[in-house]
Amino acid sequence: MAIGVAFLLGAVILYVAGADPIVAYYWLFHGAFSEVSFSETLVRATPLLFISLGLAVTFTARVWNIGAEGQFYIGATFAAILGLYLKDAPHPFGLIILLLASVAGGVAWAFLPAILRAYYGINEIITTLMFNYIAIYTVSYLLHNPFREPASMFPETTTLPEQLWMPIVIPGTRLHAGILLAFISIPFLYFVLRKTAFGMKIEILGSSRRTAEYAGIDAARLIIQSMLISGMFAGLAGGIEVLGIQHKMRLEISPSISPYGYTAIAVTLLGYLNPILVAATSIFLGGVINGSMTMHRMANVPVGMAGIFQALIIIFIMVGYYLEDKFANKLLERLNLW
Amino acid sequence: MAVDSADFTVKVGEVHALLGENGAGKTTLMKIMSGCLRPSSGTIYVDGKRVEFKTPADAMQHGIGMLHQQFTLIPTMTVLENIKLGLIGQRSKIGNLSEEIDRLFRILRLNVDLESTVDTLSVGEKQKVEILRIMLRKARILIFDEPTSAICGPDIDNFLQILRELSSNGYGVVFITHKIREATKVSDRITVMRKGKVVSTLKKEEIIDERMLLEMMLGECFQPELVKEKPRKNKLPLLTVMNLMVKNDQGVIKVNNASFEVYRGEILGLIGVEGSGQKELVEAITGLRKPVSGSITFYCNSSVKPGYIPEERFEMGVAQSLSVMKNAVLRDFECKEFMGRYGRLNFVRIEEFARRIVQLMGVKTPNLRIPVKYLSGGNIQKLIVGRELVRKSELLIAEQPTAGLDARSSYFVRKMLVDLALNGIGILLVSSDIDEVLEVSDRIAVIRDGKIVKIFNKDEAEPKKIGMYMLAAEVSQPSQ
Amino acid sequence: MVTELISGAIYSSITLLTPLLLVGLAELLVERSGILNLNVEGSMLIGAFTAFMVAYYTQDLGIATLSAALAGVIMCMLFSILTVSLSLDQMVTGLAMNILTIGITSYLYRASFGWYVSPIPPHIKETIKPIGIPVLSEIPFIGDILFKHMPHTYVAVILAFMAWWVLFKTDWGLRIRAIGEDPQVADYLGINVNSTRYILLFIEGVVVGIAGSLLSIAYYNMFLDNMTQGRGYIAIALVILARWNPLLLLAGSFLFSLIDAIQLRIMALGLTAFPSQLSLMLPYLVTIIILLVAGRKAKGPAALAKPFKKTR
Repeated sequence: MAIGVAFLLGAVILYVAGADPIVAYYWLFHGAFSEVSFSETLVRATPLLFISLGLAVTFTARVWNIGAEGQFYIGATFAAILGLYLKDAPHPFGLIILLLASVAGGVAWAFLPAILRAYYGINEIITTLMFNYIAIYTVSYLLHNPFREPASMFPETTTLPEQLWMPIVIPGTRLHAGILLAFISIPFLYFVLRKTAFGMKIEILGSSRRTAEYAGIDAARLIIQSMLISGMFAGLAGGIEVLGIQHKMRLEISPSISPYGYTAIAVTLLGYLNPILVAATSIFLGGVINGSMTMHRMANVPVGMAGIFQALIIIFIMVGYYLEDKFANKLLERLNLW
Repeated sequence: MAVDSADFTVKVGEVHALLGENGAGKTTLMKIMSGCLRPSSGTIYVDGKRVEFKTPADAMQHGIGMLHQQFTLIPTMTVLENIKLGLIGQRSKIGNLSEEIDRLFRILRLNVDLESTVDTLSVGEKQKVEILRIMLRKARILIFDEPTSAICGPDIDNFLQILRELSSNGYGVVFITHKIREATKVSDRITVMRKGKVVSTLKKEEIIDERMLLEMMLGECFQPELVKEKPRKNKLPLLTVMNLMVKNDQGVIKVNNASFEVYRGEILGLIGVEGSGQKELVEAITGLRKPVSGSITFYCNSSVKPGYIPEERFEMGVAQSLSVMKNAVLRDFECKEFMGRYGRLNFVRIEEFARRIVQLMGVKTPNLRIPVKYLSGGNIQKLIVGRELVRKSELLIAEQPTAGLDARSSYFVRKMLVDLALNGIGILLVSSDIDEVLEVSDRIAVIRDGKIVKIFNKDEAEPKKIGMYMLAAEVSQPSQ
Repeated sequence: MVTELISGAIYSSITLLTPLLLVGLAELLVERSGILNLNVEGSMLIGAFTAFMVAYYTQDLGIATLSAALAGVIMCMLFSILTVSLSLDQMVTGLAMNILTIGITSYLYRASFGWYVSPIPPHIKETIKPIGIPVLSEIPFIGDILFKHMPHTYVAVILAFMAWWVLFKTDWGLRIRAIGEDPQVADYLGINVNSTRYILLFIEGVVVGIAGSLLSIAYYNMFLDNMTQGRGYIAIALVILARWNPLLLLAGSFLFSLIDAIQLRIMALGLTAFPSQLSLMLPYLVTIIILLVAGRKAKGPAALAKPFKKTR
């Protein structure tokens, strides 16, 4: 329902900008979900999915990792740079090593904010955000100087040899094996969060740190673990993007209209931290991103719409939750009067 | 219906006790009278004139002020700032504020630095500041809601003394309590409520004995006397604390060289004025706080963690957003019986366990899966207490386990504690209720300024003696 | 040469600290009442955007500034509705609104000037210029450094002292602090928690919007996507550093901006050994260091960021 309202508002904005909403929406959906473009949608959704799944873990613990973007970049960069040294590694070993490297990158980047939060209670929103900026500048420096591909006009690394690429799953498309990994992760994470002791610990921590301590949980360690998990996923997403799509590292690897790291935050919240819903949402939003590009080409609508949509959706969904919560409270009040 | 057609009057210069069980409706009635709640029907008259209160401030204008169970002071602000905050909405300006404050300080026998922050004050002092605030606003009727729940021993007598002084200074005092002894000690009239109705209002002279009141409160003659079996001669220590030193968050040493043991099969009652270090002591024993020095040794055989009923029930004892079911195993979900392979949880067994607790304690909940935060306070407590009692731990630490529970549940919990002890469980009972501690403990340890100053055996223990040790050792009897 | 460097650095740091100080002061007051508004970043951005657009079309800098204030107010009022009236989670709401703002500003900017940014971006001809305080600016050396700034700077410094005085020496300040420590108690004592927060957020909207306008119509003469580059968040970190005390915030923002100013100078000197990205990174690194140093035992208002619902 909230999505419906967001679309309505979007239509209004479109209209104001001088575009025909109906035409625009047609291209939006066509661009997102037609047979031709569905694979592209999945391509877009892959990194989103990974990052959001990881965020689902930290957000359940109420640890707000805003640094997914930075972790994504660092993971991607690790993979791209290490790949330059593994030119002769056979397939698939080189690939696997690089994926692990990207995981390491994401984890390393999440490490310091995690410690600051776990042991010093320093607000992780600000620290992770600062690290995002630091990450982008660091990567920019690396791409301009030491690792720059001399032959290219743009700051980027050398293209990696084919044996280091992710295999394509559906021939004729760009859809690579990353999507399979993603699909495996979904039930895995669902299982971990809902059905294991670890998941319960995270839930308890999310309830309150003091309760967690009472329950005998090492809160500091758990905070770090959850941050590292989301760092892991974000880094992996970066590695997959480099190895599966770009085959090198550029600064534009995260779409500027809807940066993966930040969009994933929206996806996780929209999916109510539930891995399955989160997965569905990431596909949906992947579609929106692609669709808005198509919309832009064919119906002359600006590309910035995606960002607006997202934010509108988040706000309306939150309002929706509030109303639901109020409704549930009233219901339970009636139940309690017995 | 919390309150069902109740009539209540307060006269100038009297102390009127409102006596009843937890949940009888006393607080609700007084909240209506003091403007915190709106009645569905009924009228209020002040000085014979009909009035309506929309907010507590309205009631204040008419001279009715209420002191709630939770303090309405802000701990990090100074005494003076808190007093000023209490004057918000005051229509008539106070002539000379510092003079007035001095005068009231004298009446209340209060002596604190106005610039000190409230968190440095003792419980008794905080109470007096609250009273002062209401008196500054020209209240004529002072309503106290369970004022003695946080203090104990001689402090209680001091407090009751102040109530009489206030009434002789022309104030009308209403004293909400569930403790019959205190009500009879100090009141001119007593009104008993039960299940939302006023049972009767009696003058001091009309009260024959406490049993009469008890019957009115409970609706039947219920003599909760725990028949204790012969003392258990069991010299196996379960927990040994030696020379423990613990600092609090502000770096102040709160546990100062404390030593004691808890044996199997015994209940050791720990009693002390609030702030004597019990909190930090328990935190150190339960692992929530690292001691500075000293040792804590457990001699448990099983791997089950010691049971712990915390004082801060809602903030600590439950995970509010989790279901009742999951909360039932909040501390044990990693034990073998609740786990399957690969770290997964065995929800079937968890549900069984939860059901047992709910049935045992009579927790009112529509089902086991709703988040615990939707349960009423009393039910949450029952869940927590039930959980810790039913777990198979060898040692149990219980902080104020019966606070907020009605008489029957209270009795039930105490009986369970005694039964557990009979079965060999060692219990450390931390409570500010001297009667409860006396009733149930085999030995009583008094803590003061972070030290264990005296340990009594059951037969030598007596409220006055305990009180003496709580405040100061070799001091002559306080004059009355 | 050295004195020029120093005086230049001090002058720049005073200039740089102005938006930080303005945002920080406003947020300090709001946080003292228990609300954490991450959306200062977005509000600043909207202020910058609005000021630029209005200045571009009307050539009137005064109206531009006022409309920036208005835009800031609208954002903050929206935030209030969501967090004060509806008691939604403050951090999530603030974040979401920031994302929204980046999207809206970029979209509207392109909607006005075309989807692809031309080599010469649209800019305004005149920007707000520093003014000199009469008499004081004539003082040699010191006059140049201290008394030839934008009017906003002087306002900011005065506001710092005012904020300190109001918070600690007046009744209003008492109420604000009470709300931030324990809104339930404050409510019980008769303080209108929600109204106070709304008022503070309104003021914040004005101040932060104007602070944002400084970026686009005073320091620069154009608008760029995501111009604020995290400055709102840095301001929040500075508030923590300052332990929620306006005077310490003044000192803290000065120190921070000094470092920033020195960094810019170094970059301008064109030392090729020093990569530009490193100096661009510097503010963010410094922020982290600040948090490391000061964030540990910083105890803010006890009720900060907790939703408030009336219970009686």
